[in-house]
Amino acid sequence: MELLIRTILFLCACYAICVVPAAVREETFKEIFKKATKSFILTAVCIFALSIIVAIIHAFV
Amino acid sequence: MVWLRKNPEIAFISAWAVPGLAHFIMGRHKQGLVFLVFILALFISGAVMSDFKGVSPRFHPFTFYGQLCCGAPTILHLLLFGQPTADYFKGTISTYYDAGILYMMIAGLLNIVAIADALERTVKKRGHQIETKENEEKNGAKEGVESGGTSD
Repeated sequence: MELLIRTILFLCACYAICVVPAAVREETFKEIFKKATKSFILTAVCIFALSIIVAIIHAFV
Repeated sequence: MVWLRKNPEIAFISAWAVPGLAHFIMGRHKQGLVFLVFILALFISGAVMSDFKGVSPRFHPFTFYGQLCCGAPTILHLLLFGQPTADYFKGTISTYYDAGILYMMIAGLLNIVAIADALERTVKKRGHQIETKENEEKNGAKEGVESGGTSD
């Protein structure tokens, strides 16, 4: 349970990091959250890809 | 409230003290609300993860400087929960302690982004006002010269 709460906190914090720079550029809530969600997904995909690459490197080296 | 909007100094102090306050003063309520909610959420989640012992100028001063950029939340946290003692680190500390203090620092650093945005908007506003005044003066001078020329 504690791990779940911490994970949700981690995800919320990551989303917050994406929202603040989006709020600087955009004017309305819709645009802000759209841009933040886009960058959040992009970040998640990048981290996922990076972790897979590291895992592959560890498996072979 | 109009005089507040024109002062970059006020914008800086208010944006530092409470995340998003400068944007509220400037009339950009939506952005102000986003800054307030998300920066505070990040700070509070960091505080929870570090068991409310994350702000410590004594044990991690450089992180503290980053956290201090958040202004009132950091000072309030320090006043309410105090600094951890050396005994705290001898016992079992939270697994997420480091992540917690990092989140609080990131909240402070993100507040710098909000401060910079508020400053940019006030300076731009001020620059725009100066430009329009200069243009008006130039136009007035031109009209004066033209009217003077025709009278001769």
